[in-house]
Amino acid sequence: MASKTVYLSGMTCASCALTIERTLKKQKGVKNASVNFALRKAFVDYDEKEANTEDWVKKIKERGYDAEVENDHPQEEGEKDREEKAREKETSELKRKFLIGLILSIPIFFGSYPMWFPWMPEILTDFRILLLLTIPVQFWVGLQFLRGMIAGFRHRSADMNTLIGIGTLAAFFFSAGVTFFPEIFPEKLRGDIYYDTSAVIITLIILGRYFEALTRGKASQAIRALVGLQPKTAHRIRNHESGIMNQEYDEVLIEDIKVGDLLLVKPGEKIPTDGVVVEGGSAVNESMVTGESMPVSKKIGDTVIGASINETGSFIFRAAKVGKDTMLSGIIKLVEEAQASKAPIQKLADLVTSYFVPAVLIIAVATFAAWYVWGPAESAFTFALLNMVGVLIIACPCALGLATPTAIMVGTGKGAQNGILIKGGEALERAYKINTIIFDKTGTLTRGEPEVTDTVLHSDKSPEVLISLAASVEKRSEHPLASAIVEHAKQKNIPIFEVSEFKSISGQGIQGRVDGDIIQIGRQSFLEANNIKINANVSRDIDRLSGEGKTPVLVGIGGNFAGIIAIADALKEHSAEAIKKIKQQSIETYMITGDHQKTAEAIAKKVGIENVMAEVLPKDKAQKVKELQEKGKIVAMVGDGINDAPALAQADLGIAIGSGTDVAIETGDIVLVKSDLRDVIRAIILSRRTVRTIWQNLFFSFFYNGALIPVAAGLLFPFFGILLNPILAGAAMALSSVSVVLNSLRLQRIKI
Amino acid sequence: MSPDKIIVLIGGIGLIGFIVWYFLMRPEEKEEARTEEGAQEIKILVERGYAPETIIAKKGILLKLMFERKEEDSCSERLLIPEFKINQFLTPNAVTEISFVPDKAGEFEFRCGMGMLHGKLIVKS
Repeated sequence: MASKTVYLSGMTCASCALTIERTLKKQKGVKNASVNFALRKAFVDYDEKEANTEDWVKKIKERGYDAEVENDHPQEEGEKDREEKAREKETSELKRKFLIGLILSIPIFFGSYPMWFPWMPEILTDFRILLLLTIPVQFWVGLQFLRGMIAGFRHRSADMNTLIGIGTLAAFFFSAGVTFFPEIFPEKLRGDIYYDTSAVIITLIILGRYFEALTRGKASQAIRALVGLQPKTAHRIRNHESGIMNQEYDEVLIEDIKVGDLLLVKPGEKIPTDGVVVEGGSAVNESMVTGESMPVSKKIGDTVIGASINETGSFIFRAAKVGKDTMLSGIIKLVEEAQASKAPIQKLADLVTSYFVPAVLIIAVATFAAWYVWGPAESAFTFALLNMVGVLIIACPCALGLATPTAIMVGTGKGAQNGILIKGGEALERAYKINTIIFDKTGTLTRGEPEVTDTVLHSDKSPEVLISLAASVEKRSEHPLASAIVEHAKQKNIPIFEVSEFKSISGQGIQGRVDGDIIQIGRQSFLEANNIKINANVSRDIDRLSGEGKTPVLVGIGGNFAGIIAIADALKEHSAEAIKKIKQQSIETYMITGDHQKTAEAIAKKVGIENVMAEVLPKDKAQKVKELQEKGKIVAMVGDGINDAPALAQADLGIAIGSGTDVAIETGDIVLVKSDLRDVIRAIILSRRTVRTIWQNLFFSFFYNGALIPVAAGLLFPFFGILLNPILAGAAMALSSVSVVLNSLRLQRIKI
Repeated sequence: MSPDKIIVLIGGIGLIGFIVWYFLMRPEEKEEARTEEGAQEIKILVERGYAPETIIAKKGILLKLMFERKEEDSCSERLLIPEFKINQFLTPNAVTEISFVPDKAGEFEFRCGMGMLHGKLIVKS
């Protein structure tokens, strides 16, 4: 007996559930089935030997609903495992083949040149022995090339295998012909055998492929590491009662967690999924998901991210997102999609690769014919054969193919590990060209939460009393500035009292009575209208605070002026540092905001931005971006991704700043998981380095093929007497694709 | 010019012609996905390329691409359809199903991870 969950959709009412339940019960091998309409799930107990889960789906679909049986579709993790296994199998096989190829190639090589190595036993110089030693290299070590070549011929397509296959077979069969039927060859060719050429080339290229497989595995390491973060189990609370220590819980699989479940996390454990803390608290290391290096403290009401590690305390949290909806799953999906995308530069490489191999075949034939017909009379055939083999072997289409994808893979992977999600090749290239960045103010440069910054006293009242009385009255108001004062009082444990006679005058201020005293709060005109005298000192303070980008709130107590509470949306910790670094890269900076010009300028000055676009309504932000673009600037827009979406889309590069779990994954070409502005410049540096790596790789592979194919064909011979030994061609080919991958891997080590 | 040289020269030119015809003038293999039970399905052989290399499908109907990868060579291990954000590992010597609803009409490329093998998906509205 086994049981499975079937996920259903298309049900409109409880009777649909009954229909499906009856349908399932009628299926062969099904012992019991119950459909839960609310969960959109059917739970089926069945006999594994008899039942066919595909039939269930088919029958349910016949009734007009849609169904999916659990685990019928390979899960992400499973896929990664299979990929990893395939890679391990490939590398271990290549390693074995290389070692056997090496062991055989050494005697073949020495035996082929008795004039250089006279100490070799004579038997090894026998052509037939050399042939016997070469056969396993040609047909077993090099089997993958031959197979690929034959399959290619069948489908009328040619690739690297075709080139290596033809090249080595030509050398092999010519040598075999000389070995067995010397009489059909002209006398001067009878001593020429090239078993060493074929064996050593195959061994070298296998070595190259081995290195390539090893390094290619490293290129996709980052994403595999992300998938590997996913915890496997969780502690689900049975009956939640207060007190963390005496909870009863069940150990459940991560797939069985549902939204709303209460889960216990102990010190040192991975947090199983995204959620909100309901009891207890701790410090959590989120670096693996967000790149944030400092542990983040969590208390009741805070969100936690699945796969981050709980460090010190125990806590209980309510699962808010599970499975595909978690932040980690979102990041993995985004990185995978990025790696599927194509960089515009790659188009050239694509065009070249589609004609590359047939072109090399044509050059090889032309090389043979030209050397045979016009080559030096005494050894035209030898030159013709060796140069043709050289051309076939040295050509390396793989280097061209690997150039872009490996760099994108390493670059985007490196970004993801640092909380920088780059959405593909196009975003990388645009980031490369950026020369202007516009920053949204609220929530991007600043925290987005107004806070009390100063209390300036103009009476004998203490700051605590001023805040206490103001907060008591403001508690009744709904103004954003009011909540800043109330929040400030709460944080400082300043008491808040009952208010009577509360009155709010829109756009002016508020008043109320606390403990007998009348309190008036608002702008200057409001207080003056209530016969409160404002002297010159106060006016100076008001001007000074406004000049600092703060909003002054005036407080009168008992008909006398008491003091000013200044409120500002504080800059984020690293904003100024980030702007400084961006300017060092000769990028122009702009700030865009709905604030008044004076306040905006004060903030821009503080953070180090020269250009201010103030009093811009949210809907006009995109227009402002466009205006800069029309001036020929290549513009990146940095915003929080929610209300800045049109501007992010209009910009050449949209950089969305997410915070915590609210990653605005849909918007923006680059998503910054942390809300640290320094990541903007990190993202740009990473993009620039990645694009530069792609260019280097493409240049190298084009140059390599473009320069060495003519050399191998013997084009330099008439002028400089230079010819390329096919064995050297094999070595160069083996190194070329590895060099490209290694160059891409250098991105993993850059400091951003 | 001796006869053997003439033969090599003519043979070489002939061979070049053959290479051009055989590899570059290959007729395009097209196949339409079968529609059955509200889903369209097509099997694609992955071996040194994709056969058929051009797939015709209808817009808005679940499309099941059954990729049968008949090789272990790592070149074809990834299947990418950038337009539909698909990036899938194909298990060697097995059939891997990739299903999605093509929600836009047009000609889209599918290819291997390194951009060496190419195929075309034509979605008709």
